Amino acid sequence: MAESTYTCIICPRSCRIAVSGMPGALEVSGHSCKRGHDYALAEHTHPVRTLTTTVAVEGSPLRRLAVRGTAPVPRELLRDCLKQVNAARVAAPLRMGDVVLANVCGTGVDVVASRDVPAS
Amino acid sequence: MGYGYVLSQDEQDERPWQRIRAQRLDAAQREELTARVLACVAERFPDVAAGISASCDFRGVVTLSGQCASYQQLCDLAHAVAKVAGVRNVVSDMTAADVEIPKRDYSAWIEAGEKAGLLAECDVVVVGLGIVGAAICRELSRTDLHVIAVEAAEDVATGASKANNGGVHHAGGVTPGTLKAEMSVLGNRMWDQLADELGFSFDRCGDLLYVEDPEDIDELADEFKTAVRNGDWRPRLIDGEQCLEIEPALAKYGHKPVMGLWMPSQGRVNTYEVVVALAENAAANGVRVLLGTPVCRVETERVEGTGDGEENSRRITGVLTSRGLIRCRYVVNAAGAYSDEISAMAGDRLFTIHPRRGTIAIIDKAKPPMYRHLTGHMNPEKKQGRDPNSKGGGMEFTPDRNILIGPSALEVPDKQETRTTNEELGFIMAINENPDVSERDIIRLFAGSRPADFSEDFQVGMSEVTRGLVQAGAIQSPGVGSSPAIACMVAGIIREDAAREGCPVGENPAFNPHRDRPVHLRELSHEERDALIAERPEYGRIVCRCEGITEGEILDVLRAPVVPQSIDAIKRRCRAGMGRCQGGFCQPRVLEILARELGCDPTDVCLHGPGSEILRCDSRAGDGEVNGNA
Amino acid sequence: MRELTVDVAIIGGGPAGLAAALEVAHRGRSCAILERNTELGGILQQCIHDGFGLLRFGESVSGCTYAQRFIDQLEASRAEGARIEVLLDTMVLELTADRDVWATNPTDGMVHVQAGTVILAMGCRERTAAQVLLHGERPQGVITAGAAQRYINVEGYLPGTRAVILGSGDIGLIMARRMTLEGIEVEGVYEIMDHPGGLARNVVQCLDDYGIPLHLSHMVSRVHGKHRLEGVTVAARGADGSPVAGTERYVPCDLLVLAVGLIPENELSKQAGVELDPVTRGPVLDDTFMTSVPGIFASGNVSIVFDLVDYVSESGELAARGACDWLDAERPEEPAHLTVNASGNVGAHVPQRIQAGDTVRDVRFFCRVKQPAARVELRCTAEGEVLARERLVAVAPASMLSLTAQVPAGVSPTIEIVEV
Repeated sequence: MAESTYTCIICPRSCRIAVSGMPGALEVSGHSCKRGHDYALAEHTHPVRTLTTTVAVEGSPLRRLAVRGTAPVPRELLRDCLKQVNAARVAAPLRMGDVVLANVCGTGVDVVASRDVPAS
Repeated sequence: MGYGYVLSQDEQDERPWQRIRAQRLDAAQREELTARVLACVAERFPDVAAGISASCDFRGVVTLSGQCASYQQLCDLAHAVAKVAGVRNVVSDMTAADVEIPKRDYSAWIEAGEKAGLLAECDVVVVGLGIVGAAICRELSRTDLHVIAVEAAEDVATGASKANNGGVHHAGGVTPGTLKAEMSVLGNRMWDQLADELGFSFDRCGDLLYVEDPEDIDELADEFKTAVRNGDWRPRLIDGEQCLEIEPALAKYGHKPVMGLWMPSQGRVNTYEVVVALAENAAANGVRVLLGTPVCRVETERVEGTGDGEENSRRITGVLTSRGLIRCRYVVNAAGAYSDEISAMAGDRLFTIHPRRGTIAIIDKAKPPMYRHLTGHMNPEKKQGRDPNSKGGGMEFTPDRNILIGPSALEVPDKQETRTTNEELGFIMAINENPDVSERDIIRLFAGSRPADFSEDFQVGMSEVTRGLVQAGAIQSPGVGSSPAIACMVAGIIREDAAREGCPVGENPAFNPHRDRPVHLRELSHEERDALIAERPEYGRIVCRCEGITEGEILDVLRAPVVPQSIDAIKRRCRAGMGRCQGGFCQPRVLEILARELGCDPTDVCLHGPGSEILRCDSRAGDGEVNGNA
Repeated sequence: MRELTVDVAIIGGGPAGLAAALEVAHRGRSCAILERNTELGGILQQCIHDGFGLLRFGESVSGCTYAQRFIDQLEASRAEGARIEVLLDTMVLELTADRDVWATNPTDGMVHVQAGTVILAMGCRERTAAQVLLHGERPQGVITAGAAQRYINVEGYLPGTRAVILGSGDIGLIMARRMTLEGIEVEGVYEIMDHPGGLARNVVQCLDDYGIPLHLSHMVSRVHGKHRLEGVTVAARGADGSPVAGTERYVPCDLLVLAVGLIPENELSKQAGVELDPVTRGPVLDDTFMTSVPGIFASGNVSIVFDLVDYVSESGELAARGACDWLDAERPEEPAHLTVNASGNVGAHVPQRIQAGDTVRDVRFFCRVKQPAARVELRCTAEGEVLARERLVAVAPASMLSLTAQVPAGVSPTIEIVEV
């Protein structure tokens, strides 16, 4: 299998990390920490992304609530997840961490409030 | 001690602008003038002369048609013809090989207007609410005439009045004997009272022009003579030492003036602030203001026993706007860039507007002006290569002491086109004399077009062709300073005509010349500010950080007699969004306030005219289920 | 009129101000946060995306969460009796060198704060269309990335349907992804420099993931449209800064998002007579984060534009420590200073000078490089001796570098980047 290169995004250092070899015997080079090594390996085999978006709020001076997935979701499912989350509406008040949508798209990931939302 | 100059009797009597406007030509004289015009074209523009034809009306207004090689040549040719002795003005039907001259399409407005039917009846319709139209409205509001002002754009002051540098000019730069010169001098003297009555900022800063090379003294003396001939207020030639007394900072920048021309009549205003003040005062005194109401046809009737295009052959009966017909006896044409088209709609082809674009840069307040007064070095070399028809600009500043650099001067065929270009930026930055200022300090770069005609003079007067059409068009620099005098002249023309027609104009007994100066919190002491906020808490909430404008001040302008309809209209009235962040922080807040006060959806709020809505849609318009923690 | 007397007046309740307030409270002193918005958190509240707090919390959280955690700490601290006064919807109008602060809000009218020390934490603002000299008409549809972010994330409206982004600063990159996910088509990102303005992780996750092209050394040479933006002309940028003939391309769009840089907002600092550094465009700071005006300190993006909010918080704490130390020392006379030299590839940096005390000083340096480079060492040296060093695989102007060094008394340190 051909070598693939990934720009590490774990820290601002932005290491260029190469992954090569066959599944089961992948070789990683160019990383400067364990987290970078794991990141490149994950990007190569199973890329994931953190879901962040907003949902409409009712009963609050705020019109939108920022929300976030409690864990990353597979990259290829991100848009489907967003579609589901964007359609949600919530009622104030809410506390940071309150679940807005459980098990989004069956990924097992919950979507939670990123901040407190006061009621009007 | 100044250097004196005494006017000769001839110079005191000269009013050539009146002489040319009084001339009437018979058929033979018209033929003779046309021949001289064509001879001039043949001599000066041999490459295109064969394709140019000319005709001439009873006033000596020449209409040119045919094709020029370029738009610049078209302008040069028409200017040359305008200077032929006996030519009153030039109407151009010419085309240019290098560019298409766009024509405004009125058909959709005509259709909408005809469908709407009768909108109103009144005595006078004022077309256009730039500084000229607004000043006329305010002047007419002293009378018992029923006046309606119609403005095509969504706000007042959106044409040349929005994009100039606000000079109330001295008269050292205008050609003696023109209407411009007369209006400029008369108007200049009216500003102190106007500012006092209407509560806008006016800074009579004075203008100091100096030379460092004794060889340039003659040129300076010429400008002095011009100022004296025009009747400017107390111009003085002064020596180098006096220059330094008036403007000590000259020494700081290493300048060594040998002689100066001190013109204390020069003043500065924010033009849009003046227009708003004039329009609001006019509205408070009974003038009905219709924004977003373009005129698309001027209704006239034939006077019996006259031929087409002859003197007094038509009479005004009304105007058709996009919102319906307004019946009236008088139409005041203050339509700026479109004043030639309004005049033509009324059957009087008197002049053609050729927009001359000027680009101006506003500099961050952190870089204050170098001088207390408007001060400039007279450098004849710098003047070379400039358009001889335009004074061009220099280093100036607003009453709030933001430096303005510019404007440039460029003939453009499109009245709507007010774009900025790198070339024009280069031109204005070359004017910059302030060593602390660079392109980096520009907070806004904009351009506007001067509504110039080919005679390069103002066109103010009762139409000789269509009775009831009062021209107030082709007003370019020094139009701001002249506007109060133009307004008086127009009001005088209407009074005189109405009296002759047997229905003299009475006074408006309720006329109140005063408009309270809006509250500017940034000008108040801590105690005054505190007291005001106790009364109205909105004065305690800053919306625009850069200019320190509060929600209360924005609400004040939204509750004024002429209600602003857009983000830019708010900006022009109270400076919210005018500072260094250019609305980056406050635009969302202003938008929210505007939507709330106008009772519309945020997605309907415009930056300026229709089609400039800031927001496209709500991002979560769909009806989802409401989830929550209950 | 409200009169307040506090040990520390903190101007701005964003990440720098919040961190400063907590540190001041930790030291047992009183403070007041003067915040112009109606809630704390500053610009973090419109940053719904992930990537904040890796250094501070050891995990990546959204901007709102980062702010909420600090706000929660502040509330907890207040509940335990910390003297932190929070004035929201409060705009500071005047600041004097004597630390007299005049502010205004709807409930108190004028607020007069007499402060033992002042910490400037006003943040920064975005450069605008005029500052990049965008030519053409001036239609609606040309907005800064921050304004777009606020409309989309906070107000919940979409300002366009097809966007071009000028500038590849982090906010521009973040907004490229955000707009794409909200259904606005992003045609491309155009960067005038030959390297991205933002962090590599944002180029990867915000552009590469969505196939959005990044055009380096490109410019927008003209804006088209009278009332609403109709399109822009883009072109390669020549060496003299003007468009390269023949490379112009018309791109239809109804939104031009500007991400062309941030400027520390120092209007109040200037009022107080604080000396500014033309490179950082923030106050000249010493190692206690004190400005040239004794008793006035600065932190966060008002002092130098940071890349990570974690550093912003840290700088708030450093300034708070400096302020409390200065009060503890009973407002010493203005100390003598030694210049911090920056050599070679080191550009903007704070502090610009250190106090010339008679003891060894722990100094925290923050700096940016001028040009990208690989395999380098960031060093602090003095009189030929290396005081601190850190090896770096790669450096880029977008990333802030930090280094802590113990600087011996009376020597002038140098920050340098050395190839290794």
